[in-house]
Amino acid sequence: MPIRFSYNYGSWPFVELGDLPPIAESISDELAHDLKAWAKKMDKFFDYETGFASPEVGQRLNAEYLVLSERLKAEGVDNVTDLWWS
Amino acid sequence: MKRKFGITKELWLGAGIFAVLFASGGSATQSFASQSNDEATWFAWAPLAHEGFDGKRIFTEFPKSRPSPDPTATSNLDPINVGLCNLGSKETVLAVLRSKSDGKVRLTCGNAYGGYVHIRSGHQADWQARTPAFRLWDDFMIWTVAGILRAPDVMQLQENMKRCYSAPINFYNQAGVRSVLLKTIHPTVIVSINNKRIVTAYPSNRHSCS
Repeated sequence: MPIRFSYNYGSWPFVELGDLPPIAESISDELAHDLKAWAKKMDKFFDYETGFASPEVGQRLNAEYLVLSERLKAEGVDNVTDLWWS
Repeated sequence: MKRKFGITKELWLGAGIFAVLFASGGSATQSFASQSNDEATWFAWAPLAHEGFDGKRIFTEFPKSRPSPDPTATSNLDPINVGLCNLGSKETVLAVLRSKSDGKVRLTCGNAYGGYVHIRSGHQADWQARTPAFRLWDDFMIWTVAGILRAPDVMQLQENMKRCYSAPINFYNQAGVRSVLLKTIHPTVIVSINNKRIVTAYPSNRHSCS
């Protein structure tokens, strides 16, 4: 079952609840680093009341998000995207 | 920023009742983990807040045998207010909770970006999955959030004036006189520091505060 890959206002863009091994242990360190970096950028540029700091920032971060989703798939993590913030 | 509504509170209340009765997105009644009996055999315990919840009652004494200790309180979101959320009210306050670092914070209906509506649309299934034998995901959610805000083991300042809270929540199976620890989770709760609002809350094996 694919996992939901999404911004959660936290440092890790997944809610991992089951007994499966942590996603961070099944992907490359580089991808894990980039996922955390993306979440941190979302934290900085997305406000829960006003949305993105600017449309351009939103487009850039959304593009990064979709690339990260593909990279996750390429490393064997089946995931679904959820652009609730857009 | 306060939103002014154009109709009276009475109308909202009436509409809220209607919404509770007919809307499907809110506090849907469901049992958990395939538990079909009414008597809870599982319960959650917040070790730092020193408080337990069995789906119906809150108790401050760790259960040593069945029946559970006398409840000290119940944890229920007002269905009328949830109904107001279903009708689109953003500012309706569902709960006011004491937090360790940010004083009293509110859970409002909010919208897709934050608050109860956001939690429901994004994390209801997550809460449901971690709520064995309990009836309502949002009653368990609000109990969990209250305990974490009051007695966290993690408090992390974040960008955009937010603070991330977490604390362990233990799940036990109460079998006769024994309580067997089944699992520990570390939910994440995000609070807006300047607006004193709960932005989101979700359960997870590991917190997302770092």
